Amino acid sequence: MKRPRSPLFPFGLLLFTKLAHAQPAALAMLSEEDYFTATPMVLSASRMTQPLNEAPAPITVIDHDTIEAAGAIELTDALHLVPGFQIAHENGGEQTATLHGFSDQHARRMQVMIDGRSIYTADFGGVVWSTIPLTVDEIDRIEVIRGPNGAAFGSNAFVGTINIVTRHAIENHGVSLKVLTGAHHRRRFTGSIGARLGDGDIRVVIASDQHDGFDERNDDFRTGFIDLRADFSPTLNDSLTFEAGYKSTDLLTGFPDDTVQPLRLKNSRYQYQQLNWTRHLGKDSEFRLIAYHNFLDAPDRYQTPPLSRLFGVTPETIPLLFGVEDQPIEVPRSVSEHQYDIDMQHQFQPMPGLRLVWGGGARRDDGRLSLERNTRNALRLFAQAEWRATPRLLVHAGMMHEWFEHIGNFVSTRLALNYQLDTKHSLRLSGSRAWRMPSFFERNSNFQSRLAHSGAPFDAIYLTSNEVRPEHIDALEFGYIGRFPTHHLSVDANLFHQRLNDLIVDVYDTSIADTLGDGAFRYINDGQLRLTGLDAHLDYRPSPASRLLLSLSLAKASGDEPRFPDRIERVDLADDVPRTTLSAMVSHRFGNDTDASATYYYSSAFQWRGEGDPVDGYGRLDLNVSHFFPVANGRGQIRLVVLNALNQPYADFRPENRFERRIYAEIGFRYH
Amino acid sequence: MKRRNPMHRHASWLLACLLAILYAPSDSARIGDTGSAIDSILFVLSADKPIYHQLVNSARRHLEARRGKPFDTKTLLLDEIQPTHFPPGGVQLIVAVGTRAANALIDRPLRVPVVEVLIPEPTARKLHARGRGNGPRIALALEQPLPRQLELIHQLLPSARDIGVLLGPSSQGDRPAIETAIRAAGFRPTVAEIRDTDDLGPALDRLLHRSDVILAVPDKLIFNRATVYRLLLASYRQGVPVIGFSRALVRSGALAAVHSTAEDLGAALADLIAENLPNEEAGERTIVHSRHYHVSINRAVARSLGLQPPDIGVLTKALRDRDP
Repeated sequence: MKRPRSPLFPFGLLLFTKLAHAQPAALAMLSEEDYFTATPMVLSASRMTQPLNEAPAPITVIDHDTIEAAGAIELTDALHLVPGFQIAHENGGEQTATLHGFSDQHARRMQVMIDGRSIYTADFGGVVWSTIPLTVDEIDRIEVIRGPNGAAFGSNAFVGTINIVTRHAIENHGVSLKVLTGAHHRRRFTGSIGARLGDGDIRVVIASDQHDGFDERNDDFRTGFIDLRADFSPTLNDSLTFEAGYKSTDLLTGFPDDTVQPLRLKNSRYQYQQLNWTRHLGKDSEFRLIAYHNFLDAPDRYQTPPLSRLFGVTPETIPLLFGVEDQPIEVPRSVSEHQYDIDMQHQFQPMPGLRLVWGGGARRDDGRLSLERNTRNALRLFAQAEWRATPRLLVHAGMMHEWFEHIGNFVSTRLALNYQLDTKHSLRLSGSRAWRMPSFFERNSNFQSRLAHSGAPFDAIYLTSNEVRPEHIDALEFGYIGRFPTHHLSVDANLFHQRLNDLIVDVYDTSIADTLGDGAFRYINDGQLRLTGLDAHLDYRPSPASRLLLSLSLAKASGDEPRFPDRIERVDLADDVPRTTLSAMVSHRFGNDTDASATYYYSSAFQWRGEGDPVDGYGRLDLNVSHFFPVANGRGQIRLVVLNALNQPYADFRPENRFERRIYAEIGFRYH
Repeated sequence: MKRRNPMHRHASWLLACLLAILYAPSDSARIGDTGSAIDSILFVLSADKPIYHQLVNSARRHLEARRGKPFDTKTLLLDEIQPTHFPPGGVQLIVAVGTRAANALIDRPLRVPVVEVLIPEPTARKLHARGRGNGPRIALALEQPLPRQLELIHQLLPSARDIGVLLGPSSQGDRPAIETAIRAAGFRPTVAEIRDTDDLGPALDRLLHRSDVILAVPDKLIFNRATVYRLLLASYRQGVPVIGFSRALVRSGALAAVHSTAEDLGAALADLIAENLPNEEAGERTIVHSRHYHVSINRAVARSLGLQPPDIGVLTKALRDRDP
């Protein structure tokens, strides 16, 4: 059969068009660049600071102003502006964010960090965004690497990496108060205070938030947190940052009249402590240490009605059916985990044109899932090199070696070439391999309901015993970054091909014997996915006050996974990835005191995994207007945000989570 | 029934928003004045960057406002110049926009005057001393003159007496002139010189202990991306404000700066062409400063230093009142 021509074909031609000019020789004199410089610099791709057009991977940076302009309310909202991202609501209070679909409610194929601290959970994988004590106002920028980045950040930096960089404490001096209210009885209060403390600066943020979730769900949500950041410079060459936070979240979960998942209030508590130390060792030389501890505790243990009610029989029948007396069933769904991590790196320039960064780290994950305790120690060693082979050609090589207790040794690699066609246009070619470690649940799940009286296992739901290996990805990527200064335009586009192998998938194993005798799910390595596509990002600023941001992702997937352990019947994975994802934001500043923006998001139909369902294609238009006004010794702000302004209800995860028009109003004051 | 794609459903709405917001009107200034003998100007841009175009557009607008009719101007990118056809016939004045363009034209024998704009003053001095090309060369410096920067210190920090200056290899030659200007403004200069970034820490520590305020002087070694953060952090920690020379420096953590934007320099270029150029003698090399400038203040830094600076408008007026 004739293969259809890829829709990306014309873009390929465009990218190869030569736009060359002679590269100007650097002038060893002061120039106007030293007075007006404003090049975006990123840290995430290789652990070195690099301008976007010299990074070894495709990166989108969403800065503070853009997050504000887009009217972001949730932490995940700004990720809509990154090519290929889907954001979904697992319930009214919990979101999930994934790159190029292929995910369930735990988007576990992406590493997420805040100031270098991983918030990826060991128990299930992915990030529980609702437990993170952070407000949108504290974010300086979000750097998103749209591709594997295991060579820099190790396993789980699999299909992408998100690094959230928070603002230095000096940037929030004074007192700030904000109150947001609106749809679904939302009431959010945020207060922050920042001041100089001795030789340093400190910021404390407290916040509370509550709403009653989706109309068709019982998913009331209430949370409160405190977050602290202190920055010190004990000597001219040392910078210390200490961060700590605590958050408590109550979420109504389950379904009324559902005996297996009854309606109940789930409380989760999260806390963290983090220390970052940077020492300047001289010109282009720096040592950095990051140490942190995360703790998540989410008790969730409940009893069902007695067996006789569950099965609709008389109590006397239960001993005949199961050999046990009639009694309730206990379902232990509690999750808790401690994570300890220390990471050191040394960056230096051994010779002109060559920059090196190397280092190592150690980690311990200690989790409890249901009734099982899992621990895993890990060690890592890494090195990254950036070599300017010619004035136009930059060569990147990176490698990370990791050892995981009980699992083994793994090496993630990347080789990338950046070629500067001239000062405005550059091309990038990169190849990489990365790994994803099985979560504790995938590797060693023992999720069984138990008899309430005796504690004996009754129904096995998931049973896996140390038989799952890591999955791996091989990726090839070709990118173009262009700036068109006279047109106030910058463009970033990349073609990618990814091969995900040994995917960890769940199969239904009827041979697992439990009291109920209905089998159980278990995890095996057998899925595979091929993903090919184009991601593009365009930033157009026709005037200093106006901006258009466009993101487009076109992707085509193929692959399959087995349904049962015999691996004969296969399930097609092509529909697990949306073919088109689009976002467009237009913003304008009117005068000096009013900002307005309109943002449109679109995702074509695709299939969520796990507790998600197939979703139809959906589009959503958000409007945001902010007005600033002077107040005594400070500034006030009123903001009106309309999400889904056209009121075209849609479901982005499951049908009952219908997202209708939502209107929010916020008033805030900042005092010096 | 086939479902309508929501993307199409919203497309017209989106297009309307886009057009309405992107093309919202913006105002423009108009300055009326006399004309000049120059009719045809060639702008040579160092590169195809917005800042160079901003300057050219500003200069053109101000020139036309003075004369009341369009000027004959041409714009060429430096990389597009064909040496055999340069300068094109009829051109009466060449404006080199940016350091690269000034550097490329300095050795060229030209029969028409060259004005160099968007060029730092130390760089212009170096080029003028080195250049073999003939014809008048007039640099319109990127910085504001030292007396105006010192007046800003008077206005912001009336009790300041000791002004610290850190000089690197490329600015050490200016030491006598800097010290003279500081004394003439009624301050006491404290100058530290460094040869390498490794000297920065000790030199800065000494300087910060003996100064009420640091006056930033452009030097490639000191005010680059890698070291400026350390300098600003250290001065902030010691409670010693830094007066910068650019808006970028104020954004990074300096207390304030008096500086010219590309728009200002375009207006200053129009002044120069309309008023001063006909009087320049062939072969003369001059550096002049812009009378158009802005004042920037970092209010967060001011607050943390316990200062309450006046409004920008009040400060700017105070500076203008003392302009020669």
